[in-house]
Amino acid sequence: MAETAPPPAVAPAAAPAGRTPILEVDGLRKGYGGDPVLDGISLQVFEGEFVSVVGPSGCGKTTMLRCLAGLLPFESGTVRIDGAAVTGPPATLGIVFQDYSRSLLPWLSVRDNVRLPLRYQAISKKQAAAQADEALESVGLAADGHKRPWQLSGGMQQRVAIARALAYRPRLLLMDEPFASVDAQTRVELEDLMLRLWSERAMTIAFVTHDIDEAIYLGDRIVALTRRPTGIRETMTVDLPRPRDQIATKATERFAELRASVFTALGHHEEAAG
Amino acid sequence: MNRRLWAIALPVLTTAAAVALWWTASASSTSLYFPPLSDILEAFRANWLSRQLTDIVVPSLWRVGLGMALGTALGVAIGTLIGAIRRIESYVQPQLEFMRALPPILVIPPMILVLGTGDTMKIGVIAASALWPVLLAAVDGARSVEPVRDDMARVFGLGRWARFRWVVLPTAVPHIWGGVQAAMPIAFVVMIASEYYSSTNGLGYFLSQTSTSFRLADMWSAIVLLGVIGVAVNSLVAYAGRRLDRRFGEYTDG
Ligand SMILES: Nc1ncnc2c1ncn2[C@@H]1O[C@H](COP(=O)(O)OP(=O)(O)OP(=O)(O)O)[C@@H](O)[C@H]1O
Ligand SMILES: [Mg+2]
Repeated sequence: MAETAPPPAVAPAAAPAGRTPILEVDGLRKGYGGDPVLDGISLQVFEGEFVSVVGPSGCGKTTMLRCLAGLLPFESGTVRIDGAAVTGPPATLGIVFQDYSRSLLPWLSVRDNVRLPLRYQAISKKQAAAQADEALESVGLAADGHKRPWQLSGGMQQRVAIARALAYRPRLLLMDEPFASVDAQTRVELEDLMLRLWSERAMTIAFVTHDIDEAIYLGDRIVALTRRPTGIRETMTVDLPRPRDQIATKATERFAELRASVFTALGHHEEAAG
Repeated sequence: MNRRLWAIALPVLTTAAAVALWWTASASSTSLYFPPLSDILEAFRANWLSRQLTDIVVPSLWRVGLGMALGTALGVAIGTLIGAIRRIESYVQPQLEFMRALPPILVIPPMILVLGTGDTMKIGVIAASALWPVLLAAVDGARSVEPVRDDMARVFGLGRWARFRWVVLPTAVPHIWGGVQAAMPIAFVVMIASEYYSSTNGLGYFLSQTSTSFRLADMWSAIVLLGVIGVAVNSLVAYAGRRLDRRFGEYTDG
């Protein structure tokens, strides 16, 4: 029968499953007042990936994310999200900002902060409420929706910011050093929370940090940035199995090796690594 | 506990002392200009604890209220617009500074020409004098939006109007209220001034009538009344300001 013919194969050159690029950056340059900050950034993030971007303090990580998100015009290069050149913030993109307490609106309750982006989407009020509640639930704040952000601890505020992004259902989530200013214990909890949320949802994450251990622990791949003017130093695959564990994973020999190579890539000396 | 008691008792005591001082110092006064406080209070009772209150005071308060409301509405609309659209701001800044520097009652003569001498003019000049402090405060307020909040709003798909409604306006509210607080005494001065020369009712009219016919105890009673109203209105505005700070401020422990 004619039906026995093999199904039309996906184009031979097509990327294998999970290898569709969702974010493509090519030759991105950006400076402030003639002072170059980003000097030719090229990278790709694939559908479903968790990519960690590590770079030293002040190298332009926030600047880069703002360019990628269409919030900041750049001098040259291209940024594509889902194949379309970025001119303004794409609807499929969410961000968790570095400065969580300022990114939340203190005049709205936690629940209203999470619902705010949904008001302007083509979904019903009921659906919006359900999405917001589900997101708050998934970050463990179901009982705190009525509070104002400033009544919560720093770690809880960052959970609100994460819930707001989740409720928006982005396909690509950019996170800008989200855990840089919470205490170590909270940080560990939030890292594991992010890994769980990422594994539960169809979401690609680009996670910016200056913490090498965090980058390795979370990522499928690590993009190491240079000092300013900032370019890409190296891209490394993190071949650590998932699910990861704060103690077991970090105790492996492979973790130590990766750590050493990222340190080297970032230009640290041996003693700095130790 | 004791401290709070003191905080309430102290102003009451000092006020009582000041009144007592006034009373005794003026008790034997035969000066035409400074009648004894007892006469003033008698006039106060006769003038303001009677039907005159509604005939004289209500038109004045109504004018101040309406003028303030109009001036504030206009100031907020124009000010937040200028503050939110950074590109306009540098162009209009010199004009704003110029208008700010003009004494508010200067607007009365041209307004009489344009609006006549009726209520429209009076409400108009009060609105015009309230406009500037509110407008300038609204510009400041709208300008002080945290940049990351602007980024947040854009990333999460809020359009211009939504950004204004949820981010710019709430940020500006405490600033705007500061402007209202500054405008209120100015509005009272302008109200009196506008009623002084051309009116058939209102406190300004009463002041002009009593002072030109040398009914000075009556005149003083109107001044005392104005003081009382001023204190009441200012405390009300300040109280509302604290409530708004709590609602819209950054970090409160309320
Ligand atoms: N709006 C701006 N105007 C001028 N210079 C800026 C601006 N924003 C950032 N810069 C400068 O650009 C450089 C990179 O800043 P950016 O905030 O992107 O770095 P970062 O890697 O995110 O830093 P951090 O680790 O502190 O978050 C810094 O030197 C900073 O001073
Ligand atoms: Mg940064």
